[in-house]
Amino acid sequence: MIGGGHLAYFAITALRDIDPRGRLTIIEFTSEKVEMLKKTFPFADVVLSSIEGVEEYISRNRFLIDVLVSATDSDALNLRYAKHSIKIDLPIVIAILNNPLNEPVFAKENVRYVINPYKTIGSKIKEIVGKFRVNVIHEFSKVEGGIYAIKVEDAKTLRRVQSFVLKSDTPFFVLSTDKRIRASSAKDIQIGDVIYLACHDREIKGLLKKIGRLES
Amino acid sequence: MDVSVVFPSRNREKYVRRAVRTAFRARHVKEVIVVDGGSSDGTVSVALKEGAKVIIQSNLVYPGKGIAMRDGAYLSSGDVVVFVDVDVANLTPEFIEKLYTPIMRGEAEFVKGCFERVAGRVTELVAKPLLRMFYPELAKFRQPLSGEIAGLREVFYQVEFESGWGVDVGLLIDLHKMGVRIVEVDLGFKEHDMKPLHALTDMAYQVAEAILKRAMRDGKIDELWASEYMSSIGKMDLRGAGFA
Repeated sequence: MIGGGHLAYFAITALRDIDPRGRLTIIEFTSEKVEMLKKTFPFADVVLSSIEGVEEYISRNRFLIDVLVSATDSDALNLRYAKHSIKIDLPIVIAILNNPLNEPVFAKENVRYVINPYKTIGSKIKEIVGKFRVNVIHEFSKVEGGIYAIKVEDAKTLRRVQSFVLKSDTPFFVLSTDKRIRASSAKDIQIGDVIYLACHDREIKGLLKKIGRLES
Repeated sequence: MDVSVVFPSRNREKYVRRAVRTAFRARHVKEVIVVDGGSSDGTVSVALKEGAKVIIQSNLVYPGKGIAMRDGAYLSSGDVVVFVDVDVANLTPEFIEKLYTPIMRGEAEFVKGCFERVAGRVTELVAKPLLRMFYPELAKFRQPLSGEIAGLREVFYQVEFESGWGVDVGLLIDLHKMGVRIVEVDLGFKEHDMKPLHALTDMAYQVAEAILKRAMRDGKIDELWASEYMSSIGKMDLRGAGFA
């Protein structure tokens, strides 16, 4: 393991879980960090090295290394060490990125295993917010439900929303296209309106599935 | 000795082609590195097309010149590393060669470039007075904030790079303290965009911070006083004082 920062912490823990009896060596560049790492990871050998000394250390110990993880706070260093490790045929070489934009740079240099810790941010956001395609105005704390806003974009949505309101007796109000707020009957809802519904999570999901805004 | 040329760069598509080509024409140059600060224009693709090595600086959230310089030094493989602003309009191979010549001749391990122009406002009003106060031996440098520098690669690996605008003066102080031989070379005239005054506020703050931090580290000022002083400056609204 090269580097002992916050990204390295997770990698060290994972390696330990995979092979609790395996020998783990952490290389760091300042004596302060080396001391701190020795206390945090008492099971590891912590080595103080210069920036240029790392390649020499890796080369010298190449027959002992099964996995090399470069997780310094500089992508330039991670690239450099990964390239060197590949050049001397280490079995598994992993680089952990500081900047997700460097993923293609590493790919271009044939670094096969590149971990982009930021990759999940976008997909998670989409998963949480995007999949509903509905504005969550407020989530109730004591029941699984909330106040949701849905724009009535077309005739199909209009029919489904009207049917939902009538059948479920869900409290609602409408913001109409002429900026008026109405709390009227389901039949008064029109295309273009935004309807605010107070209901359970499962109910809104059911409605969203029916109007094609949530995958079944 | 081989030379690596590093261009810290952000949204400099207009300049990067010429800069990379010019750098490759300088003698002893084995590689050109563009460290990009998250450009939204074609800087990266142009640099790659011209044969430069490209890396996006590690810390994108708070892009800083110092981080870009550090990454450039770390990626370099030449014996000597030269840093040049990518937007120097009159960049020539000779300009780059002048920077590393004292190192090639064994006269220095670190070189700072200076120019025939009135030194910048932050240099005259912030850096020089503070250097005179705390590091008078460095007051002889005409342009201590110059971003055009060259050094043996190994010396850059022994210092910590400030993340922002304090990097140049920080390197000067730290390398001087390490006993590295430093010379200043005249690079002639530099054609370069001048920043508007309001854009210099952050730069001035970071330069002052870099010098005061080192003065504190080196026991030249009282730690408590300095931290309180820096904290009060950080909270100051400079707009009313004509700075913005």
